[in-house]
Amino acid sequence: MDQAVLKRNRKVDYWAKKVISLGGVAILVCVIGMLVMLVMQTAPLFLSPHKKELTAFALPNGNNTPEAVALGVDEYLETGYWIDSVGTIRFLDLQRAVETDHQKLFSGLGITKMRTYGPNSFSLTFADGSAGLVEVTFAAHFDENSQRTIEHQTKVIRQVPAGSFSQFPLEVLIRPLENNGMAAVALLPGNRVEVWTEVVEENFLGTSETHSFKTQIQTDPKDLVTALALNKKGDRLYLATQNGKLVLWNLNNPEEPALIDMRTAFADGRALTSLALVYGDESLAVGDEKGQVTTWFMAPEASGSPQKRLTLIHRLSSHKTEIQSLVPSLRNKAVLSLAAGTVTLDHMTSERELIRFSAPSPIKQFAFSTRGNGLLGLDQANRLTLWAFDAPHPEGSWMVYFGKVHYESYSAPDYVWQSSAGTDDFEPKFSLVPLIFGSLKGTLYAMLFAVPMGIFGAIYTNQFASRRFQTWAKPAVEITAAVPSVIIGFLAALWLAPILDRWLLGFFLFLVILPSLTLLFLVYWAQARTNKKLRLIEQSKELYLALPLLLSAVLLSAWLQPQVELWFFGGDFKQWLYAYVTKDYDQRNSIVISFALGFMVIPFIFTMTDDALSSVPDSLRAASVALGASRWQTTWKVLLPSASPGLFAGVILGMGRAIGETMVVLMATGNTPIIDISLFNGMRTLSANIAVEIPEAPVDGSLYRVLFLSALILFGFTFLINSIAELFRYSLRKKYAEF
Amino acid sequence: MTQHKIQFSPVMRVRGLDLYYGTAQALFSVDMDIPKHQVTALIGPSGCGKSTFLRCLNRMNDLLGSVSIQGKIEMDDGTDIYDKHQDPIQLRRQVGMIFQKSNPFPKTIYENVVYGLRIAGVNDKKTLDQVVESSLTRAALWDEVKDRLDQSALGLSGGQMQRLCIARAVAVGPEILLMDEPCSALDPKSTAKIEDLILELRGKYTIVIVTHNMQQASRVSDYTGFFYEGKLIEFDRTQQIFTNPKNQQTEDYITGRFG
Ligand SMILES: Nc1ncnc2c1ncn2[C@@H]1O[C@H](COP(=O)(O)OP(=O)(O)O)[C@@H](O)[C@H]1O
Ligand SMILES: [Mg+2]
Repeated sequence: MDQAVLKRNRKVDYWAKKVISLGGVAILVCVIGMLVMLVMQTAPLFLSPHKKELTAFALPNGNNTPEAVALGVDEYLETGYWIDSVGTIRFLDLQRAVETDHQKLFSGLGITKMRTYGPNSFSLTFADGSAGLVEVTFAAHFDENSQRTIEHQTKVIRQVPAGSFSQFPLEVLIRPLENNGMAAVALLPGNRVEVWTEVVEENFLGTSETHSFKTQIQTDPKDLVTALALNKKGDRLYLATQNGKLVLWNLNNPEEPALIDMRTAFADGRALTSLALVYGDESLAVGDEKGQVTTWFMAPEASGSPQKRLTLIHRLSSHKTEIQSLVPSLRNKAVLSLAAGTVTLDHMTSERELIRFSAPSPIKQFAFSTRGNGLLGLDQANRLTLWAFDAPHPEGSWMVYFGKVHYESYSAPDYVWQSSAGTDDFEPKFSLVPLIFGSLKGTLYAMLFAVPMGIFGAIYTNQFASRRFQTWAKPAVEITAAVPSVIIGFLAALWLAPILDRWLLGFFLFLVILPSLTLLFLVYWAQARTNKKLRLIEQSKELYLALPLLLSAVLLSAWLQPQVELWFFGGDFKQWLYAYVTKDYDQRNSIVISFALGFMVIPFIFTMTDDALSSVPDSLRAASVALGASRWQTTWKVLLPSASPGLFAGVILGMGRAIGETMVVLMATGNTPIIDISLFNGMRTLSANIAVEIPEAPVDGSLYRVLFLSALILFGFTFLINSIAELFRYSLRKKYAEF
Repeated sequence: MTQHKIQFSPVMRVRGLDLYYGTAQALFSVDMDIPKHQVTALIGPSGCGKSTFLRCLNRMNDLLGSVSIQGKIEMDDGTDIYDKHQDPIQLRRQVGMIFQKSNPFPKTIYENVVYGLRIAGVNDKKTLDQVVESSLTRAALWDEVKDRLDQSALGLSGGQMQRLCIARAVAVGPEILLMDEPCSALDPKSTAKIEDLILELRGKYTIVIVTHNMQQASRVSDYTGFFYEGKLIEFDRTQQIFTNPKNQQTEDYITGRFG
């Protein structure tokens, strides 16, 4: 060859190779990049939260002033305050460690007891037997230079005058009720608990009347009450006792409190030392003398029993010594617990211990900032320490994503996906199990339809059909792969689903009638085929027989539906289903998915099977035929075993396709995240879930990241499945490499 | 167009065979009597229709699309193998075929040999064992493979594979064996083995072998037919063809003047 031509060929070869490898590397980089991106978006879910000490200083004049009974800090972590035992509230500039303002509350009465209630609110009990509910508010103002100043304000919301209770109270919990009403629970000496309720009613003249009620809560005089907790609405009172009893009272009727439940919390009868209601007022956090923090709510004793009792739901951190105090977070289901100077922050639902720390000297007082982003602590040496902490996704854990969780107001632990609801104190439920189940269920039903259709269709087309049929059947099937899934989903949801709904019983009849009819026909054919003209039909014209057969099966099923429904199902098949099979019949059910998703998958299986059959060398087919094998024998004994890796690859590739498919399942199912294999209801798949939820997910929020986690799982699934398919394909190729 | 009558008892009688691939005619009124229990070689330049003719004898051409055939091929009982009543499966069990490239199934040696029996519904282990031994012995392969019958046939050497294919064809119990250049892909040593085997099988089977190796034709065959451009130019005893061909084209081909 000409030197110049050779040189040019070499050059083209060189560059072609470069470009092709560049393309290959680029694809690899893209895939890896995608994976890295998914992992990066997901990782923060599992990172442990971190905390940072912002500042620490001795309380100004700490040594000369009375004891601090309460602390607080604003959400910018700039202004702190503390209330001393003689009723002075002192504001501090935390950055500069100086006092900026102070104010006397309730004309300087000594404070005997303090209870936090809500953001920067305190239930204070005074030395004269009166009590009050105080709220500190902060408001940020921006001047023309966008300089921020924070103004604070102290407000007394409710007051209980001295002498309201029959004895001098040790501790009073106050809750505001509507129209200036209030509920106050007092712990009195001698282990007595008294409830004082003020209900304000407007009469028909428009003037308001106040009714006061005073009732006693029965307690065991020998069993000391160690802690009280009252919910925000003031109608549920929890008591904890020295002998380990947990008691719940209903205060709905101010004249007559009703006992809801009383039980010994732990079998060993350990003393309970501390109570707090977790955000949402549904769960009760309990601290005991052994240092264990647990949460409880009313749940059925045994599954299915109507009797509800206070039930231990979550076990949180344990400390070495008794729990001194419990403080709930104001924005999620996290609880701070203090024991012997050590503070831990646990998220209830995920049972994750988010943070555990202690100050150089034991911490005695602490407070959350309202946004939950900071903590102010006061230790025995009167040093104030301010920590900022960042726990962006405290509600997540492996158990939450993949395990059964007993959510509030559920009767038992379950796998639940419910990302949002109307109320503020709603807790998102992020179990991925129903979604994974949904993906697998959709895939299963799709494959049930697609595998036989795809494989038998391909075998028929490849081995039995006439060449004419082959030349248009293959491209036709391949073109169906190009139909946008939105169209298929649309047709399935709006056309197929109602038809199937109308002919549900007929569909099942068809499943029985078609095979029986075919069998009958084959028996007849075995006799009829002695006729030579009829036999000609067998030569690649089976289609002309199959179509009428199919049609008559359809018509017969449709005709039989009303009769069968009348005879066997009491005239209403769906009613019968509801009574005996499933309570969740859904028009967009798995049968619809089976067809719609199956339709998406068939081209893959068909094409792969066809390729696999064609890849079996003709010489093997010839060898078989030359030995006197029929077409069917050749297919069954030579082609299929040899092509089986390709068949598997097709099936698995189809599975990968079905698992990742979004539009069809999104449109053709009800997208309810239930775990139910039933044919008669739908599912929510991982992919559809992402499509449904992503518009609602705030960027970098927990839902957002959990969606990324589910995408990662989906990625893992499809990657695994495609790798397996590729392995099968590889083994097929290797098998015939030498032919 | 045999000008000259040969005396033997034919096992197959081909009369006026025309074959078309679509519209292209590949065989032109071929007449040939295939002698029973003899080896018949078919020679001729490549593309002259030898393989096509051979495939007519067991109706393997049926597998190809658009092939049309005119003329008759009669078995010794007088039936035309292209008759509509005739079952090609039956025919193929009587007329076995060995291909140019050995084509064992990707199964064990044992399963390769018994394939023809299994598809005929024979599953009795004892019968199968016997047939495997006798067929492999006939194909002169038994001693080489008797210890690894359950291993893949694809692990055999090229020559062994081709003999396995012969054993597989023999196992069905055919009367006629068609071989289409069975040695063209083999080394001389394996070729010699196959040639010995053909001489062994002669007498029990009628063998029709296509070859473009003239020495091979003269070594193994009793009769030789020379094809040229789809026509059977000359058919006679091998000795006669190679020593004293009647046709000028035959002589030119044999003496290597073309082809
Ligand atoms: N499957 C086929 N389809 C169409 N033409 C064919 C086919 N097989 C062979 N031919 C043609 O028939 C003629 C004879 O071929 P063949 O019998 O293979 O010759 P040989 O075996 O003698 O070399 C050639 O011209 C070839 O191109
Ligand atoms: Mg040939």
